[in-house]
Amino acid sequence: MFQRILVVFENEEVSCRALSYAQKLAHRMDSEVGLLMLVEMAFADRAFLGSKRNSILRLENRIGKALGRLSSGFLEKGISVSVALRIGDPAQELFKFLAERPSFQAVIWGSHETLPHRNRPKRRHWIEKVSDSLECPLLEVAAKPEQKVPDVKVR
Amino acid sequence: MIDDDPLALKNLRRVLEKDGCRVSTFSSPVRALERLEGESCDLVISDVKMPQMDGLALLERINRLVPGVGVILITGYASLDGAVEATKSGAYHYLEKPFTPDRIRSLVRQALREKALRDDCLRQEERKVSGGIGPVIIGRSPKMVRVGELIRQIAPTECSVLITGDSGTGKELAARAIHALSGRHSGPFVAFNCGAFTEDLIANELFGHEKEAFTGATSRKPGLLTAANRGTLFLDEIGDMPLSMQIKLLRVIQEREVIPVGGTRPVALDVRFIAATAKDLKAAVREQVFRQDLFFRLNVININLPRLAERCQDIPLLAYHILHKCSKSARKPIKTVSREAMRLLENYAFPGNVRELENILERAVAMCRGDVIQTSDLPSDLSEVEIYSFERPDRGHLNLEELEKDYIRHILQITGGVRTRAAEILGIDRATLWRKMKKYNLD
Repeated sequence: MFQRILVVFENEEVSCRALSYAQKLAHRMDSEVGLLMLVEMAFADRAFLGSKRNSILRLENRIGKALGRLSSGFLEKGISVSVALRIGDPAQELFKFLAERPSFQAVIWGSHETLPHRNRPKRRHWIEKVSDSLECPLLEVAAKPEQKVPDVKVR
Repeated sequence: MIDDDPLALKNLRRVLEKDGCRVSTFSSPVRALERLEGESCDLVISDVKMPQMDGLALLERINRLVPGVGVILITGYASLDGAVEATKSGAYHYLEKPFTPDRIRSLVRQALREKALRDDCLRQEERKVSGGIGPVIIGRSPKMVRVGELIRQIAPTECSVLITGDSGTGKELAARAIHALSGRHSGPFVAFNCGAFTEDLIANELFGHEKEAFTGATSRKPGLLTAANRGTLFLDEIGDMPLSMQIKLLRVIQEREVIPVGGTRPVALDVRFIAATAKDLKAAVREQVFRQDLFFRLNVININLPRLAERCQDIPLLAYHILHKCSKSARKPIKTVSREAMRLLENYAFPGNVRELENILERAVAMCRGDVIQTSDLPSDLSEVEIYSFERPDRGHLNLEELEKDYIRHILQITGGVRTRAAEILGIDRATLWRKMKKYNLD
């Protein structure tokens, strides 16, 4: 069964095209969708969040609202959707997220239209590096050459 | 080939005969129709403007007389309206004069190739209806041909089979094909999804229960293992089976008997096990979430089904097959898929594999107003976006050590664990076999 599709966003950047494709694919395959926002943040020592505590709270508040807006588009079309926010090292957080849940059948990269550093193997984006270890295909949604539109910030 | 201009007929005939086609020419469309009534053909090429009958009227008559035959219309007065009308009426192509010999040759080759694919689907469908050969594995790509050969080869044996492949690649279909081609084909084929139930429910469903085994068990219920007796049990999504259930299943496979929940007496079983998973079970074994001994028991023969994106040359054949099936069930006389629509399908990544293609065409059949699936009948994202799928490393390849380990295990199974015989077959002495068994933990 093609039951679950995960859309992964990075640092509040959302590709409308990827989102729209995820909706159509989920509708077609009668799947549930998970929206995961990964925000990169370095923690030198987890015991002392210190000044980051406030910024994390603000971040959670802001992204929570944005994810709520994104999920409403799915709910309006009758697609079951769940949202999550993870802060830290994006690759590690993605694996932790996947390990805690039943497997997804496809992961859609939901941020940039074309991944940064594509075709430059020495500076591959972290999602490209982890794609080898995923149990399902990682899909990147790009516009056909004549239909490019810029990415938008969810803020 | 129909044209009122004998010179045009002569030239076209020469071009196509050079390409190996058998060509019959007619200057009168009425004579051509008479001939079509008595003799079959693969393709009709006709001029549009003819004194006796207009090309479009001829097209309509041909569609009624011999549905499924492609028609290429040629015109010296091409217009957009004419092209649209011709395509809507089911013409394969509307070709404007003048054209080069290469252009007509490539069009004819393409039309004949598509007709051959459609005929192939129909033949398979007819064989299925009349002969009862079970499910048909569709595909001419080298990977699918190998899968088909492997299925035919291993089906008559009693070996357990592990079918791997992404979601929607047709794992259950392959399992059904193995069952249909095996000596157990007259027995039941029972499918069970291990990922859809909790541990208790899996035990209850697979093993059954005795009366009053637990609260609410008001009567005795035989399990699916018993239901599959003298047949095949297909365990889908085996990688999602809880660890505690895996040991119970392993015992059933080893002992060939089952004890129902709450029961004490074992029931003998004669079942062939076919398991399937989209997960990398070897990695699951390494991570200790899947039992190695159960993996070895199930993975006697491994069939890996390729993703649809890896065999995109099979998309037209699959599309015609699905179209035929869907149009029959929807009772719509849809004949084919337009070339533009087929091009879109061929260029799409299909993350949902064959199941996604099926869903797309089912919707297209419902949306289609004519008898040809057009691009407008397909989901808009197929024409709006490009999907790149990151290639994952091919997990189908074993390294030499893994291969050696698998082969030794296979030979030991064949010989029933008789090491002398296994060493003979492997061409090594017993001491070497013993060392290797110790190294690979094969006791």
